[in-house]
Amino acid sequence: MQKQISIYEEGRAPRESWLDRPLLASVTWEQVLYVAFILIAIVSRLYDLGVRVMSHDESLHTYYSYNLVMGRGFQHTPLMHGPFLFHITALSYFLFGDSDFTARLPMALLGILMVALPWFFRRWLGRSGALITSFAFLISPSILYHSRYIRQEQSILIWSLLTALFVWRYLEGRNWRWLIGLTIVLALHATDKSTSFLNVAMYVIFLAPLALWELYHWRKNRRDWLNLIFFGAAMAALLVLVSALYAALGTWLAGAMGLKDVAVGVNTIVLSLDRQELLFIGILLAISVPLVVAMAYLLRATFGKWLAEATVAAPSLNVVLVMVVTTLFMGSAALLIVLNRFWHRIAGADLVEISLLGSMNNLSNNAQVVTVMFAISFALIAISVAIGVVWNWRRWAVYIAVFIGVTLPLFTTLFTNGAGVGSGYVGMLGYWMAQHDVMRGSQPPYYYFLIVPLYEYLVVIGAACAVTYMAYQSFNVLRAKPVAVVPVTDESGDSSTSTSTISEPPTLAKTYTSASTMSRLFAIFMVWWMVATWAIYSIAGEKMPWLTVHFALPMAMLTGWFLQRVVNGEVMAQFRHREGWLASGLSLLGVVLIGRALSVLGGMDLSNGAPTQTFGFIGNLLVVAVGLALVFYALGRLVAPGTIARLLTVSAFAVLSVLTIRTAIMASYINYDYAREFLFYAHGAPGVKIALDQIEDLSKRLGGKEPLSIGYDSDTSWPMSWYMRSYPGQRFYGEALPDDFANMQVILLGDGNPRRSDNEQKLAGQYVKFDYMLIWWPMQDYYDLHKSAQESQFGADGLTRIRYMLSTPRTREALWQIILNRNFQPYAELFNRRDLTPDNWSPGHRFDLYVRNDVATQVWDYRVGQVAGAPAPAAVAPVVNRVESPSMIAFSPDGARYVIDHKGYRVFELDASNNILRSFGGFGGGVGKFNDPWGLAVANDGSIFVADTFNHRIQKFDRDGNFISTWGKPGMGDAAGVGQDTVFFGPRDIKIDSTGNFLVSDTGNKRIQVFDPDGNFLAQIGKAGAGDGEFNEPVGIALDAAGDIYVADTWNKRIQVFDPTYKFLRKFDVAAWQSMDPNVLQSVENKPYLAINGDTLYVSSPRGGQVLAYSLAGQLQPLADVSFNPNDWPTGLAVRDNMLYVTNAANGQVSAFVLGAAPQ
Amino acid sequence: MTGEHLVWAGIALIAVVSRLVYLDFAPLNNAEAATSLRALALVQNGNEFAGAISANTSAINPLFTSLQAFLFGVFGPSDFAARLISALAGIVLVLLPWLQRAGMGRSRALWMGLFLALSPTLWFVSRQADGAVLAWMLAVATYTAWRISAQPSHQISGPIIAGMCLGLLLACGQHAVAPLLVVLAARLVSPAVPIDWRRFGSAAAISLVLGSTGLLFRTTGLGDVFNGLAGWWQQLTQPGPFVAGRLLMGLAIYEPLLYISALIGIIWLLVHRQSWRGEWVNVARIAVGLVLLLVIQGRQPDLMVPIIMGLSGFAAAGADAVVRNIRDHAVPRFEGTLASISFVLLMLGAVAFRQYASSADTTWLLLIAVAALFNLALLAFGNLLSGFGVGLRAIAIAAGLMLGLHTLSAAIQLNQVRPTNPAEPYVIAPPGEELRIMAQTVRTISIRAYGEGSTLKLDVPADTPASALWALRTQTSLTLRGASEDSEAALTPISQRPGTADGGTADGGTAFVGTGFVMQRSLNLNAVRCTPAGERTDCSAVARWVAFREAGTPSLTQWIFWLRGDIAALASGSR
Repeated sequence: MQKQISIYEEGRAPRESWLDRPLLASVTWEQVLYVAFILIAIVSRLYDLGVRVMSHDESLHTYYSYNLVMGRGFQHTPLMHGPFLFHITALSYFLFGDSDFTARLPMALLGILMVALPWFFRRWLGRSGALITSFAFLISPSILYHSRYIRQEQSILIWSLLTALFVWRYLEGRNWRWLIGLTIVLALHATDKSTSFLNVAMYVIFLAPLALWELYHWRKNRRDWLNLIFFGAAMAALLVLVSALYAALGTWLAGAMGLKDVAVGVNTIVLSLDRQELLFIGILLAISVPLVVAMAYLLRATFGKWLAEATVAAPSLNVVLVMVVTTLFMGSAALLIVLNRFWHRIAGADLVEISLLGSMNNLSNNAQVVTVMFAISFALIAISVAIGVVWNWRRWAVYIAVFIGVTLPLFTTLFTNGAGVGSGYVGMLGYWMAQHDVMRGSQPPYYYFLIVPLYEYLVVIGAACAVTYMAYQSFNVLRAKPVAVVPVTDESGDSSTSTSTISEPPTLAKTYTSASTMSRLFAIFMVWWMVATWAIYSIAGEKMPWLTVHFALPMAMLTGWFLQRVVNGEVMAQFRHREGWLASGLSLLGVVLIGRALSVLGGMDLSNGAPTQTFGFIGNLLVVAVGLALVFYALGRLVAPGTIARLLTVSAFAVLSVLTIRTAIMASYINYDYAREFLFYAHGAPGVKIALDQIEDLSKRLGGKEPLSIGYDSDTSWPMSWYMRSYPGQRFYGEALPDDFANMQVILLGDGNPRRSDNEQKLAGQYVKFDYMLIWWPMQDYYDLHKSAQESQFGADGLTRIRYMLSTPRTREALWQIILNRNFQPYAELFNRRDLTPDNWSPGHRFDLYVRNDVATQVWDYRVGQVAGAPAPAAVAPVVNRVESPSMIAFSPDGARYVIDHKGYRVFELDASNNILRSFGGFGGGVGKFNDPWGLAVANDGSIFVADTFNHRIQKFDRDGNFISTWGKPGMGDAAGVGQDTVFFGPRDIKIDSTGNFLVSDTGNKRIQVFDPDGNFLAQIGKAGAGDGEFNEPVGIALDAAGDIYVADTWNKRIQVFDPTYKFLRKFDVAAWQSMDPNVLQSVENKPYLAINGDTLYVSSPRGGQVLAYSLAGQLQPLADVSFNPNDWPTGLAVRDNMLYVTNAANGQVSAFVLGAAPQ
Repeated sequence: MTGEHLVWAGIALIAVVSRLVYLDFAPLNNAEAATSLRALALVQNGNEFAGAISANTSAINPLFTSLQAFLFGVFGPSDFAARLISALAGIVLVLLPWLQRAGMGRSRALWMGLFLALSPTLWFVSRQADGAVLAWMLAVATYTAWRISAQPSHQISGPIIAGMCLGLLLACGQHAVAPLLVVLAARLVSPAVPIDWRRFGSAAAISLVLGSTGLLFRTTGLGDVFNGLAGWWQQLTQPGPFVAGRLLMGLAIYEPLLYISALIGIIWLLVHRQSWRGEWVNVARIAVGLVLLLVIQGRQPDLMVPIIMGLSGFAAAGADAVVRNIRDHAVPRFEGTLASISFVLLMLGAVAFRQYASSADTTWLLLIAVAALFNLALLAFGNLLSGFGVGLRAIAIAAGLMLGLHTLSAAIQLNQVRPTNPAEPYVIAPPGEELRIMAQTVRTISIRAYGEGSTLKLDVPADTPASALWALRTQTSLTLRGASEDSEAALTPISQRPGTADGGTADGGTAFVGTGFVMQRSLNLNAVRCTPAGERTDCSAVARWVAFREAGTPSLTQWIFWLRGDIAALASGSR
């Protein structure tokens, strides 16, 4: 070998240095575009990376990584997946310090790498296809968001891509270096997340048939099929036999050695290295040697020759074997579950309790599981060794060494955590298989079918087009023949084979006939990848939004593959002349017009028969249709029909790309802290960082000798454990405040703390309070679509709910606003949902920041908060504290007064001084819970009736607030019903007549329903319309002494009167409503109620800030003494003892006015 | 564009990012603030305390002060602008080896540039609002220009540039002396270069005059130069805040990559009997730097610059030799495997060390020993199996990677993450970040009370720390008369309060309300030592300091900001 020349060696000519190599001599547009994508990725992945509040899971990851870098070690637990994330995050802290930015930095860097990786897939995706895939990765909303998120998803995407790359490079070139690369990636994936098992399974299921196909085309030998099947069957049989053998041996040996059981033996070896336990495990391993030798001999005798030939003929078989021998032994949990089911069928009982797999960290508590699992693990190891020896022991040794060399240091945190061996190699899969039944998140089975298209519509459509295209082209891959013998070309371009001693002999090196065959095979693989992803993650019990990235990955590649075939030379040629540009512009316009047509059709509503609206829709459609016709005519004149289709396809994807970019920007840079994005889960709300800024500010402003003393409770511990890390005075106090709590200058108290009210009382008066949202989840109205009306928490089956949502322009618009803009306001207004506004978001979780009064006094900016427990602002009249938004007040015959708080979802009972005696209710759809309750009535026996407006039902409680019964379900229409079959839509008021029957204003169904005291339907008053006896938004009801019924027919701006037999009597306009702005009149706060005192009818006009008085004949009366501020919302009315009680829904008060003599 | 250009671009990027990112993260310390206030006084004559300072003191470094004043005039007096000159000088210093490629070899020049860019010490001094690094840069530039004068293409420009650099260096006044001594020493040990002294002298004289007088706008600057040159000698006897041990401790803890690489370089030069003709300049830099470090009592971290420069020269030789050896002789698969194992073992040692530092559990130290032993075994294994040098190369790769990570981490922690950590050897009594809160508080109150943020009549004593005065630099109604009964607002040491004649803590003046602010934190690093614990010695405090740069609780210097009751009421919105 020629000696290398150094420039330091005088007398010899220096060789050309890499320093002189020109760099920009052959730059192509393709390279420029990749560089541009990478630069955009750098900006998009790193910009404002630290500004978002840590979500619940992120705070766990970042906190334990911080512990690792601070020398507190790391104990791997499958709960938080693999240790890779924690180690790489700790490295980031070590280098760049600990902050939200540096916590997310490693994943962001991997996100940038991901955009570059499609470059290596050009040979299969095509150059344009790879470039488009890179672009799809760049703009994918879910990938972008999760590359800025400290979870494993981004790294898993990298492992998935590299796995595909290495597998296909190996299949193509058969250079064993790719298998080494594959092994490293498999190891990194295994130490990162349990999805590695799914990944391996997916590949094995695809590659095993491919191996058969390769074998068939190679040798036309049908015995290969039988051999492969026999080989697999032999492995399974061995597995069962050897597992049983190990289980029996282990138990016997443990008994013989006086150990309690196998679990103790295994547990102690990883924890304490006791001599006896070491001996135990040593003997168990020693038994393995002859067993492995025997198995290897057996396998070699049976399959050795065949395997040696088959692996040469079928490269896929080599890949399968690499995957199997390296990861098989980690799959004991999966096999345990299979065995368990098998056992259940035979013995009628479980072999082990599978749920125990979820707590594998404490091995000694799970003796039975550990015994069986480790037996299976030993068996799997033995089988893996045996296969390896039969296959190619040198290669096997290298793969195993590489795999263990990567996984062992990570699982054991560089050998400082011995328990990592058990929790990593055995516990990872076990824990997550146990979680399958837990179904954390409780997402419905169709979850991904909603959320993936919501964000990844571009690649969903692209992938669908790709699959359709493949079918259309009558795919003929199966006719391709991968049998030509060509020399392997290594990376350096040297056509000689690798110099490695364990590489394939050159005469046996095979490759596929052409690049196009590989490309087609790869396309089939991508389809399989996509289908398998949808299947696996939809079946898995735990469904979470971050898993959407796994769907996006293969679909983005398929989109690139498809568009590569659309954007051919024909399309590109268009841009070389002016007409081509014009045609492209026209095609873009055509796509926009098609979108406009859909928009017009979506807004179409011809049901009310209004001619102006009908003509409006028809006109709009005509304009769009004419526009489209012109566009297509012009296109037809400019380019060939085939090119039109291609141009339109490209234009459609261009428009979808713009929309996708918008979606991505909204999720990652605008709504990043808000629960309005379905991509988020248990996400920290922005209030957390505001509170932290306050704490930091206090810490710096107080500047005393002692550090700021901060206490936080169990409910706020995540993410506060992370955020409090650098405050030396921080202290975790659990649930109850400690006795010396007054020493804490700042206290955080979550609303989920079981001792919250006790704590609040202690803090009252001594601390200034600031209220913030802690964590929130996306809206969950898409739940239960697969359930029947009886099972659904929404009281209607999925089809009905979907049909209803799509039935009118208003509901479609509300839905569209959520889909397009994540704007929940129209939906919330439509269904009067106060839990979808940011101040009262549900599901959500709040916390309070308490600052001690003396501290707040020093830092005078802080006295703007409400002093905890201090009286509310001065009241107009008797005040009800802690009632947020009272909608109605009612009295029982014995004088007890009840107020219903529709925003607080509770009914309060007050004493004569308006102090709260008790309350009941709370938000929810269960019995005794309310969703925006408005109406309230008390029967003579003290029973309390509540119009539970947006649970669309009436609930009955006893005198003490105990639930008695409920009737009604949501529905549109005017059908009569009994009990649960009674249909309501947003009932708002309820009144009881002299006979005990009660009347309910079924507001959304535009009628009054009458029931007997037992809830049986008696009659219906009115229907939808504007005629006499017809209603449009009936709300308040009142009864006079004669039994006549007065109804506030709100949107018809009048009061209607019916006699006791429910016949229409008369009507009179309410002038205040006639002049009211229609938007104000129809606003959710403007729900008028009625009350009668003698001959006077009192009418509330909430958004008018008025209470009006009318004679029963409909003549307006003066009512000077009853006045409100313009911003008040006087709503519910009640009269008792010549006092008029008015609930003020704007400020949480109830005002009382002495009526004196009734006006004449 | 060639590969070499690309690497230099990368080094320049590192230099720019490391010198400029978060440049204003920490408030100016007292020394920086005093320097900056002098420059501020040049552009804001109406500012009382700035005027007072300018009247009483002369500029230590006239060139730096003029440049700073120019930046303040253009961009306003911000912390960033105050440090920008130093940062730019630091970037140029990193790139100067580019001009020495012909002399030292291209790859070695690259290595030197990389070492200078990554050196935590240079990283630190380049981010101080202090003219020293400018002087050091000019000194190295003078030497470099002098050296390239020997090249035919630079025979005319070389002397002129060298003269300009020398003139500007002299214009640095007090900061010029130490760099001059190093340049002279380097000149003495280097091969002679014929130079056109007429061009050199003319350029030097013109540059000196223009540089010191701020392009003739401030003629007293020339006098300041000589005052500064004379004043330098006072540093020999007047002790400053730093002891030599603290600075050497900094070198030891921040720069292991540099001195280990330098050691390899020196050994390589000796073993291969390379010519030392071009190496004596590095020896001179290290030797003179060490002498100055030991002799000067008023020493500052910038005195480490010549040592770093000299070590970088040798380290570049070492790194270049190792890389060439690897390129020419290594078997990638075998040595790569060994290097990977060695790296894991070194990481194990590092993790165990941090565990020990955190828990003081000495069993972790055993793991460090195990890691070291295994590494030695690896070395022996590699050498026995495949020949001498194999194990060494593998471990060199792993150790180089480890030390690189350590250096990067140390530099970022020192400069960007916790620049006011008093446990860092180069950081003494850093100002608290609370200074900015105090300034913001004063501004907020002023706006609430008067509508403008700079009109609150704030009285401060004459001995107010310069860092606090700098923080309050935008307050136009600030006086140095100290707190009195008729003060609206005042800043006092914690032991005083306004409203009493003697400044004591009597009950008078109760109308004032006060809030404390930390002016600075200080830490005695003598606490970082091994202590006897029974029969053993507990060194966890040392480990803790090495691993996390934590050393007990710092002592705080707190001042109180007082606000008279009626002004407080105004500020609270009561009128």
